[in-house]
Amino acid sequence: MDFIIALILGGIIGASVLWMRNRGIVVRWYEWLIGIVGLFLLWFTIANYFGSMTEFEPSAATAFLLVTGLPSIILLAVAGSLAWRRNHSTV
Amino acid sequence: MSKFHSVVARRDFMKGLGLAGAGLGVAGAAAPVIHDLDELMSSTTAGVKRSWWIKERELDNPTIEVDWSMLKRYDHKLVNPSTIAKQAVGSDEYGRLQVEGRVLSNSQQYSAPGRMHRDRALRDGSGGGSKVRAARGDWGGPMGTATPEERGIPRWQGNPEENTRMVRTALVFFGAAAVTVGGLNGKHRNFINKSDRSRDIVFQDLPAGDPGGLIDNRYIIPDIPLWEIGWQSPHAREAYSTGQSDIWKAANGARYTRRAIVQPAMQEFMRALGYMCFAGTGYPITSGQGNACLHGGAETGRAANCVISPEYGSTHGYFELLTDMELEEEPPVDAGIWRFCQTCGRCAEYCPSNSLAPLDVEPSWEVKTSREAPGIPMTGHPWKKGFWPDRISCNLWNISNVQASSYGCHICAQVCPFNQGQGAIAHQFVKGLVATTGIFNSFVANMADVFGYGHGDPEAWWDRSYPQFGIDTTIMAKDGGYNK
Repeated sequence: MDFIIALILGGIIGASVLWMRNRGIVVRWYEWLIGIVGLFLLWFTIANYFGSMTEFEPSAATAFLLVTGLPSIILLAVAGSLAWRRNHSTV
Repeated sequence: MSKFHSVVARRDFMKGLGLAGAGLGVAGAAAPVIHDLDELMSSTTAGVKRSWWIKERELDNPTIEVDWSMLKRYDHKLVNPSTIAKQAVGSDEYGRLQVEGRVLSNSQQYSAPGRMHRDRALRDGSGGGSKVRAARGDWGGPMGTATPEERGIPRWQGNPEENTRMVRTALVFFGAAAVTVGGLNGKHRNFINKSDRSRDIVFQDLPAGDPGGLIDNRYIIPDIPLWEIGWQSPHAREAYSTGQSDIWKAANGARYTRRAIVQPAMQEFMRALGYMCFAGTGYPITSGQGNACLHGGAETGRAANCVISPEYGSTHGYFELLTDMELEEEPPVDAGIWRFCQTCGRCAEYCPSNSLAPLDVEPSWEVKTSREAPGIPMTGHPWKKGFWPDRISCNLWNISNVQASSYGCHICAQVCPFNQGQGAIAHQFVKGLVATTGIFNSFVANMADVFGYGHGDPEAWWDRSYPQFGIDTTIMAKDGGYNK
């Protein structure tokens, strides 16, 4: 299962990089860093949500959505927003 | 017409192909690397491969501060919780409280969640094995299997490392989760108690091969070099964490019933090799938990009713065997547990009798007196700088409320943040974090309440599918592909 998830994630990242290069979208190193951290937190959230449910700890599952899931969404939004603004700004 | 655009596109395509291939290769390699990282980085402590964040310390230097000059043989008769609680309040008052507790307990039986008919049946089945326990045999075990002499072969000979590895493998095979060993010689001799809860323990010169035993209501131990084999028997974690239920009592009692199988099996094994292996039926002859803390199985915690294992948390029990087979001296470990206890205090917060040291109390060499009886010290082996539980108030609350055992209601053990399953990957992450640095300990301790850990539903327990014995027996297994 971990292998499949890693393949999918690797494919998504690779496809995203290709798509951005084709569109001439430039992403700065710090935007990459924020995005990768956000993606890691998203994966962490999903894995622990379902892991907590298998442990019959629904409170913990919900808590993961808030404690790590929300920050992951915010970080991904920040990274995407920063890249979008720079690549669509008019001088 | 030259097609510069298509040449650039092909270059981009090849770059993209290379990038995708690299990405796939990393992704493909990432899973097994991550899977094996723990194995690659695992440390070998207590003779087994452990998680990387469990570090060995030097011999005789556990994470809790100890003073070997203060270690004396422990007179358990004098500090048995029910004995000193009775001394504190008087026999009449103690009896009145017991009646009060019995009335309360009986009023809840068959009506309160976790105390229903099937819950009680589970508890009775688990504990009784009283007949199974009785079959265990006293002191030296059944002593039915043939010795090497009787087989016409030499006694087993191995060096301490070989012997330890063999003892561990056999004991796990018979039913232990983890095994820790160390000598009971020199300054360690004082780990052998002066008495168990009711009988004196006395050293004597005995004929070779004579393990002693219960004679004239005293335990006679041969005055020879001895080693201690401590072994861990986990509780069914989810069953154990169901509050004051009969299911919890069943989980706590089950390890004693399993002991009745594991212990004589190990004793016969050792006898077949040509060695003595004895254990008190009166329990404890030494401290199984102390053995675990000194030899790599666990660390001391705030509750002090139980030590805390890096793998099983507080949901387990320890037993001990004494032998004349020479074994290794295994070192203690540091998994950040004792340090975590300084800033957690969850056990004290949930203790219904307020018998545990709260967060504002620092570890102390001095065993303080009980609030129920100012002249009587709380129990404790005063050779370590620790947190001292008020066993008198614990026992008095216990007998007048839940009628559990001399050692309390175990809520402290149930709510310990180290009691975690294997479902959510965050547990290993947090354990590694806590073992590496203490700066997040307060945050992690607070999160235990936010995440709602330690409060199992006794009704829902019946509808779930848990492993054999309710225990994850693969946790300590590093070979055979069991621990995925």
